[in-house]
Amino acid sequence: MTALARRLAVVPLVLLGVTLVTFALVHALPGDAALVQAGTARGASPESLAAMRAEYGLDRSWPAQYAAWLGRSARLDFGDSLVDGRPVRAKIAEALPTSLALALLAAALAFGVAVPLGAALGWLDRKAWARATSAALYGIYALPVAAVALLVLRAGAPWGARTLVGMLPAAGALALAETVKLARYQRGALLDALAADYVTTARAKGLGPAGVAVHALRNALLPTVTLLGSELPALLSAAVVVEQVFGLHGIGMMAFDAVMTRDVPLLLGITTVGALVTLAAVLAADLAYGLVDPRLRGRAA
Amino acid sequence: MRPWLALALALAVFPTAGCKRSRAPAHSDGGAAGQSGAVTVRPNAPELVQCPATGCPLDFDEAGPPRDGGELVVHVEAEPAILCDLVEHDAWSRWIVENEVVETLLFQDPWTGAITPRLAASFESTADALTLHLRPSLKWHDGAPFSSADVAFTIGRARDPAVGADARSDFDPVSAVETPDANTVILRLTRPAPFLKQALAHLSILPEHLYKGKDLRRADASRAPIGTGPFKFVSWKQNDELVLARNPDYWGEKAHVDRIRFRFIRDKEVAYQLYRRGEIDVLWQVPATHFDEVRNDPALTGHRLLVWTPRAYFFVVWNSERGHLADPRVRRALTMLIDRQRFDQVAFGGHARAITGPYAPGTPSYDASIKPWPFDPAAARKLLDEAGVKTMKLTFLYYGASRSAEQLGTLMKEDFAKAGVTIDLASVDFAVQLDRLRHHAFDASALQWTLSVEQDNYQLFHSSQAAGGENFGSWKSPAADALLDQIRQTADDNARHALDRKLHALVHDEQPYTFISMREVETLLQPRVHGLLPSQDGFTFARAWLSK
Repeated sequence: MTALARRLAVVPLVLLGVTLVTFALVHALPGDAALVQAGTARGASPESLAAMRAEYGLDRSWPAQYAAWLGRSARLDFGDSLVDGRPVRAKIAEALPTSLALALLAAALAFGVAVPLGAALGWLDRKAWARATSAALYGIYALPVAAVALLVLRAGAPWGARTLVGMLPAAGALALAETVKLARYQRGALLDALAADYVTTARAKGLGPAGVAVHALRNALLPTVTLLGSELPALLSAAVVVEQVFGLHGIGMMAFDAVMTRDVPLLLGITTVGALVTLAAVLAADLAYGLVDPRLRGRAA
Repeated sequence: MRPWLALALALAVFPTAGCKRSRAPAHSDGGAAGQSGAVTVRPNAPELVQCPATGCPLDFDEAGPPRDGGELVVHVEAEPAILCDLVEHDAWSRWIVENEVVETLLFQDPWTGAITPRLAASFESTADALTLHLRPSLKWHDGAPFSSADVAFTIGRARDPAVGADARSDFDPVSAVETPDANTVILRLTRPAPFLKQALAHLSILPEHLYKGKDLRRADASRAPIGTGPFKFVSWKQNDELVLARNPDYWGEKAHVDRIRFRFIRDKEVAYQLYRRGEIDVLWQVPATHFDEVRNDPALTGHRLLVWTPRAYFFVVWNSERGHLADPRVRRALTMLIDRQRFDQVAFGGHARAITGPYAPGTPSYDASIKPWPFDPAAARKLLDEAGVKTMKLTFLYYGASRSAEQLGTLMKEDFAKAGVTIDLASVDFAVQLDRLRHHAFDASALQWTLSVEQDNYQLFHSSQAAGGENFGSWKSPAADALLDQIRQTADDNARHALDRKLHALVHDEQPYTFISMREVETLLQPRVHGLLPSQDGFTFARAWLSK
């Protein structure tokens, strides 16, 4: 698997690039963490601001800060949050399992429902009701996730769930738009495949409807599987609303807060972990791609 | 679509960011004493408790005698980062910890301002010293003895500029803190200190044995506070909940409920849904979208809807250093161009009260004879002509997450245009807004301040506070400076209140701020909840109890 090795070799470079850009971006923003912490507190003094900046090294130039951060994070020490002084590693370790569980659950729901649904709608495209269903899916896609989530909560879904089963309603709300998108994608892919020359050839050779379906679906799965790599990270970051409505403590909300409070160490920690998750997902999608399409095995996609 | 919605929803939870907590001076002649909330019991709807402007004594609750036991579940909108008053300026931290876990030497009635003993059993004031006699044989929750050394330690940290505590400048008149024995603390004064007792009523005493030599932000005790109060800290899961348990060894009247669970729910709508499901006992704030529904819902019969006004006001600060804004006539004209009543209607559904100056309405510092400048575009235009202003261009800087600030900006844009004043709206995040306010890099901006019973406005309006303080608008008035200096030197309550009222009148004339309004809060209580007492920031649960 030289492809895998090559993939892994790129990881440090990607991490370096992503964190460098994040660091530069945060430092380009006006306002710093010391100021946010002090807020409009009456007692905030030049001394207290200076003390805090010195304590967290905010008084140095940003390349110097970045170099220091890089040195520490190579040893997996992401420093302490500027807001509450707790180690970034501990904060992420608390939130990441929830986020991953939510995103994976949502992805499983989305792909589990969308692939059969989309394929069925594609296969039965000549039926009027199937066409009507496809059109109705557009309507669902347009529903705002916040409204859906609140409705689900109102219907009695648990708040602050800590189990996978308890998280199902939240994952469902998160997966809804994704499911529709994927189902429509899958339907389109199957329709394309059914219109392709090789299917016509297979039909001409006397292959029955079941055989044609399997033949076409196998090819039509390829584009959908490709999406797995990009959709998982997207689900991870789209979870802010769902996390908030269902009282789940994930990294979506944590990242948002980190930006608002200029909590650079926390933000960088999350960025790094997020980049790792994304790379892992893309890698997983590549491997799955190989499984579906033998031609691609051992090749770097 | 999703990123935007996410942002909008997530942002909707910072409504009071920019809020300032400050302490208050004593005045024993409290204007609000004796006033009570008007209670309306209605069939098939929640009981309505309309509190007067000056507070809510909560004497509507006569369901006693109190019953012991049970767990009270309380909704908290924003989670504090650190549970230590000296370094956490968020009011929620105080709401959770002050009164319940850690305690102050003195207690200030949040509405009348009256000062009574707490950890200090008694105190004597002379011209050059304040002597406090602590209750004997008090113990910290971890069993260690409480002593005057803890008090001296805490005051020392509060005075340290590197700590940046809210109360720091209140201790400026203190030259030394003496502890002749374990139960006595003497504060030596170099000058009159009218705000000192009030500062002590809001300074939670920290255990020296747990904090000595440690950074206040990083000490374990700032995450798991040890105090002397009626409740002990049990646990805190970030983004989830904080649990307190009844302290069976409390020195005073012991609490009734076994546990209090504070649930951190940022989204008001979500909190409301959980309240309707019975998962929350105290809903801090009913979302504006449900005001009417809640008032008339038969399913809420027996619940109580408490309508009260926190002492916080919403205002526009004008940068008095910039161009035409330096002219008080121009600022007054701009005030008269802002339709504050319409704004209250649009932003708060009419659930707001007018305010004309930087003191709490109903207190002796507030001059009730001053009426708000009217919304009068014609008069405003005349004033602008007098000041020689034909057209003017301004930028309104606001925190984008604050819907009310955005609504205000939109409204101003509309009305100002008719008078030849162009206003651009600049929506920024809180860090940027603060940065630009502190560097005076703005024309106009909207903020909210929280008031003490008697506010010391030195930090907001003294010219010396334009650099490094909170005089964001650089308003420099020799008359105001003289008043503010004098207020800090005047120990006599009546004389000082008269000066406060003079400052109020001056601020009203010169309009360094346009005072918009104070927003009402509607708090919902489940039928089983009794005995909430008002505190500086909301309620205290020290006497709360649950009926079956």
